[in-house]
Amino acid sequence: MSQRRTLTRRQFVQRAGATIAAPYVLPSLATATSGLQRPPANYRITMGIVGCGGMGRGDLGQFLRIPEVQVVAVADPDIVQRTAAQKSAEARYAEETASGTYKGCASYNDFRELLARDDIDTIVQATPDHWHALVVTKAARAGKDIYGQKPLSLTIQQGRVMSDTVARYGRVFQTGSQQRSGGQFQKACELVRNGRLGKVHTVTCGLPGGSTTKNQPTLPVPDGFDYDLWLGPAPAEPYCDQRTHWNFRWILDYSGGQVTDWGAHHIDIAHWGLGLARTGPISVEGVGEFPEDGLWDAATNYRFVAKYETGVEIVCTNKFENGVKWEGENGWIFVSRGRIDAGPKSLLDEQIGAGEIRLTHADGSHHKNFIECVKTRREPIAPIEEAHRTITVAHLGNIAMQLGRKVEWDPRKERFKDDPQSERMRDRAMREPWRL
Amino acid sequence: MKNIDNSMKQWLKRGAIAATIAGALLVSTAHAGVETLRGSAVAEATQADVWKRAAEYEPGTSRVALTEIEGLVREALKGGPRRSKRVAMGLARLVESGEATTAARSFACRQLARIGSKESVPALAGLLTDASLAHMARYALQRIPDEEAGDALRDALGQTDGVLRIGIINSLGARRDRSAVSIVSDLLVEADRDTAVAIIEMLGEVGDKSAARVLTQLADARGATGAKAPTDLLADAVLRCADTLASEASVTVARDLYALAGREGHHTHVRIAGLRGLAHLQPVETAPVVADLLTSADPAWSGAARQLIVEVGGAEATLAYAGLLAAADGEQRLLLIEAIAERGDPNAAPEVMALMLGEDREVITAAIRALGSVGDDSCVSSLALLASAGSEDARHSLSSMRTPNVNAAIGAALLTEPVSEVRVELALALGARRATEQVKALLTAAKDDKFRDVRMAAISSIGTLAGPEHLSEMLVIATEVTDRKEAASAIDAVVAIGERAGDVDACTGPVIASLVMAGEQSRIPPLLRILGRFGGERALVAVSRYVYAEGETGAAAREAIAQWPDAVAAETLLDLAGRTTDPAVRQAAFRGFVGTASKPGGRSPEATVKLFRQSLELAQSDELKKCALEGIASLSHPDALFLAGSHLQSEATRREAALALVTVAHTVGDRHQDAARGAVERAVKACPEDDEIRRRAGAALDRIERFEDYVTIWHFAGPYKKKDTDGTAIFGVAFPPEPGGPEGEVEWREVPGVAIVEPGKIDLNKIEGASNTCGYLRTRIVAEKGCTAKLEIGSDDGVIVWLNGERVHAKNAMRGLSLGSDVVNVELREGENELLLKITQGGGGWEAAVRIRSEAGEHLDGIQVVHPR
Repeated sequence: MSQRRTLTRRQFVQRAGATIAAPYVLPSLATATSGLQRPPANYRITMGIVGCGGMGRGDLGQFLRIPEVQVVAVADPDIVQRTAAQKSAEARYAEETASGTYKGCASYNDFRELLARDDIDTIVQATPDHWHALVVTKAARAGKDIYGQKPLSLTIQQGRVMSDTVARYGRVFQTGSQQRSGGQFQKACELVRNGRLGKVHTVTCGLPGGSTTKNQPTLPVPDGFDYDLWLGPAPAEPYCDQRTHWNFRWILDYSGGQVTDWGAHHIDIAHWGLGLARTGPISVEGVGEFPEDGLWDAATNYRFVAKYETGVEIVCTNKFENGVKWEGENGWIFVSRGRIDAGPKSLLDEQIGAGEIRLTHADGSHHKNFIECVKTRREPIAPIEEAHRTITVAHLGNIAMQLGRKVEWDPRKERFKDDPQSERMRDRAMREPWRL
Repeated sequence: MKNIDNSMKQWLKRGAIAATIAGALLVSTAHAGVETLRGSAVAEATQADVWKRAAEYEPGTSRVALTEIEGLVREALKGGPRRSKRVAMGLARLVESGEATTAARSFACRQLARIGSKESVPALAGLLTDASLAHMARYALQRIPDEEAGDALRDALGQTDGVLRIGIINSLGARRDRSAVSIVSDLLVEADRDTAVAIIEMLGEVGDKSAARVLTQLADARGATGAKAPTDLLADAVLRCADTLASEASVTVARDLYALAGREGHHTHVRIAGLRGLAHLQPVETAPVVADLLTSADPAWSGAARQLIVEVGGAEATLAYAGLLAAADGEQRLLLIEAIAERGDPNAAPEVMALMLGEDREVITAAIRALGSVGDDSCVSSLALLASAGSEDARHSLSSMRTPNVNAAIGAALLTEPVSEVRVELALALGARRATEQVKALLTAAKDDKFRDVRMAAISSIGTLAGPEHLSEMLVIATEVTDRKEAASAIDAVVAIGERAGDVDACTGPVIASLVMAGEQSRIPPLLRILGRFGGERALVAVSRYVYAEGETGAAAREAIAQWPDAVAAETLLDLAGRTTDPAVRQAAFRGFVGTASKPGGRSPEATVKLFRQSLELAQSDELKKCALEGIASLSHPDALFLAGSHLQSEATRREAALALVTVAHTVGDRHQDAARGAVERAVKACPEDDEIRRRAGAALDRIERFEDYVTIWHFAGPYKKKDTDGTAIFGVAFPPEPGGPEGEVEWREVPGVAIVEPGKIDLNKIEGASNTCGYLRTRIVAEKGCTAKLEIGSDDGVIVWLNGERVHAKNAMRGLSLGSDVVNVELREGENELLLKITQGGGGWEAAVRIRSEAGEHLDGIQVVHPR
């Protein structure tokens, strides 16, 4: 904070002349004219955004920065959300036109109209969780490649069908577990994966705790919000604002609470480091506190332990610093979005050799990695099968806590072992007419 | 009167519900047997009350009764079939109750999905024709495994139509109800389009041979019934059915279905899906077709072919594709090699090795690269030979082969290979492969190999791989080699061992012991160089003894202290520079001081500035002053600006002083904007023609402007936690720093520069990462006169703001930081104002930002932010 301003950068630049002005002017010029570097329209990868809430608009912003991508359509049952997304895309592309205007991004209430367009190559799937399976499977059947938000699924069975369908049609699917494109997460996972900790015995995933809210009175559905479509396959319930949009996460009809919302991130990283991303635990047990009253019913406090054939245990709890900590015979490594640490510290100086496992990609960002893989038909850094295996652990945690007992799991058959009670919770019936 | 009537009706209604449900519970209890009647009358009455309250449940009202019944269900499931049956019967009664609300009946269905049995089916079946509850009836029936549930769903097909019937068809599909196949197939003739689509998808999901027959007929006929469904939708059902049959070893039927999906007329991605199914089902038979498609002009087919070669599993498939390599030519062969490499199966190694004997350079290169993925121990000598001839691809593949016995093969070859250039490659490969189990072979090569290049390569890999247990052997090598380059390499290796051990101090002891026992003078300099690289107080004492020595020993000691690595030695080195009369020692100690004092250490920024002030007083020559100014440029304290500024006058030191000014100004410009601006002006004025200084000055001003108006001087207290309190609830928990909080000592610490993220965000995770917690930030705003200010606040997660002890803003949220998401106008009083923030944290990001502007959203003059008292 300054009391007086004697010299501004602009004044300085003006005074100093062009020789030093250039480095500061060029970056902004590059931003404003980035369209000049884009491939011709016919060579761009066309994209539709399905679900235009916080995550969808965030992904949209990322893809609008990628020159090869042309966002041509958005879909959302809420006119406010889809209009905001449409305007955002059109404003971005208007920067490239001589007139300063652009009207080429269609807007749909029903995502099926968007998927029916043969001129759309890829979609972003950023709906609430209870819609993930339907959007992804329909998109795969329509031959679209998919950038799909986490958590992958609402139920274990839905995840299985999603992964199978994507594989059946050879679609490229990038899960929105963007931590896999984060340098510190990659570094931590490479160190663990390449044995720097020796045999790992415990991994702790620190996740956020859940929240509660009061019982909510029924409210009139806002104009322009197709609430019945928003509910889709979920049980019919009267409208209230705390049910929809961001807060759907805390209601088990639509999501799995923080257990799946953040579990999708950190269990994924735990698996990745361990090299267990394509298998699953053999048992899960734990304790969770679920709100006794109020609209939101997902777990608020929880701790569950997933045990694997190798003997390693993954502990998921909201009573631990947000992040992932692996503990092995040679020390420990912790990583979160804020920091990376190890004991001994020298573990962090370890280099990864040429013959060792690398968990990086050269595409810059998670979103760019998806686009590169669409072009090369290679598997992205966060493939759907691994997202399914990740979220299965979170679902198993929720099931074990809801049943109040240990559950045993066969990771090969993806079935509970001799446990018909738990088996019933592997899936749910969708509201008519929806089906997978 | 009307109100009294309503109340009476409600009372009567509650009574009726209570009687119905309590009766149901008692009846069901009686059914369950005598054992269940042991509960006390009080407990029964309590349970009856729960069922009564549950029956009255409406959305938006308390669901405590439902939660209690969920508890009953959970306990009953643990308690065995008899208890489960009893609770399930209560739920079935609730489902059937004409008095219970729709929401209550819906809830009962949910619970029956977990606990229901064939006895629950009649109650649920009755709802399949009820549009308001049909879904929830299926919610239970779909998950009840008993045959009766399937019977009920099939029976209801004839009683429903439209969307309700579609729902039932969907549930039969999800149950993979084979008995329903013929029934729903018969419905196809009269079905409308939506129902026909549901039936076709259901057949695909059931996926047995009878479903396959119907789907095949539909696909072949494409007549009246098949036409109701889009072609690709029918193909999808065919594919899904085929996948199920393939997994159940019905190979012939599955093969025919895949072929059906793959025929012309379908979209390309559907046809590719058919081929994918066939490729997985019959990998050997389909390999030639898939390989041919690698060169398809349609990128969808060529891309799919590559994907298939990579993903179709098993040694059989590897051998089939590898077997095609010899006959393939041109682009197809290159693409096939790449795809086989991506499979990573060593079974392909012989065929890939064979390609290296050909004449096509492109093919040879591709084969060498592929061996990195599929090669095994049999490839070691060939790749090493090629690497020694300069092939980077061979070198990379030698380092990358993954089969477990490759390291042993390389270690053995290192000691037996006759060609020295090849041995160099083998030694380097062991390091690149991190073959720690081969350190013994490397030590042997490092000591005994006749060729220097081999010894140096081995020493380099030892530096990568060896542990403290190898230190003594390496010290012998380091002190005995006579070649200067080899000696430097050995010193690097020893230092790497120490650093990797994580406890350099523990490695210092053996080195000092070697120094004491050195005997010959020639052995001492390498040991001094090693200690100089290790650093630490013990090493500094040992090295200091030799700084006045003559010859190479003294030179090595002085070189060591001039490049001393750790910050703790700064005071000692400055003291030595002040005391000594030997110019060479003074210069070495002074340079050592500047290097060490510039490093981050345990010293406060103020203490470091003080040391540099002393060093400037000590520096007699311009050379040493310039050296000190270079160090001052690395400081992050505003007082460093004064130190540097005082040397602008002298022409000899002007440029270094100006460079230090603009560099420090850039660093401290986030929090000390006035001082930084002034320093930039002085530097540019002193050296107006110097491009480097002008460039850096521009960058510094740019950074200062980005932080303008943001509060960047903060002190932090926390994190504060409370048992079993999450990031949302902690918002309401008062801790000692906040007004009205409990008494307690508060430890405030200045927010370090590393936690200040442009433009003005404070990243609290960089101060102390935590979850389900909160922390406090405080600062002092000095206003020249009272005024209204706008606080633009952003927080991740929630925030409470106090100004001069008064709560002026509060927002409990789980959110990411959005600069200016919260805006509040406040009255600043003349003089000092204390601003205090509480920032809550659930998990993930933990940040805060505050910008102070005028009511109109512009820069506010007459405001200064300073450290709190």
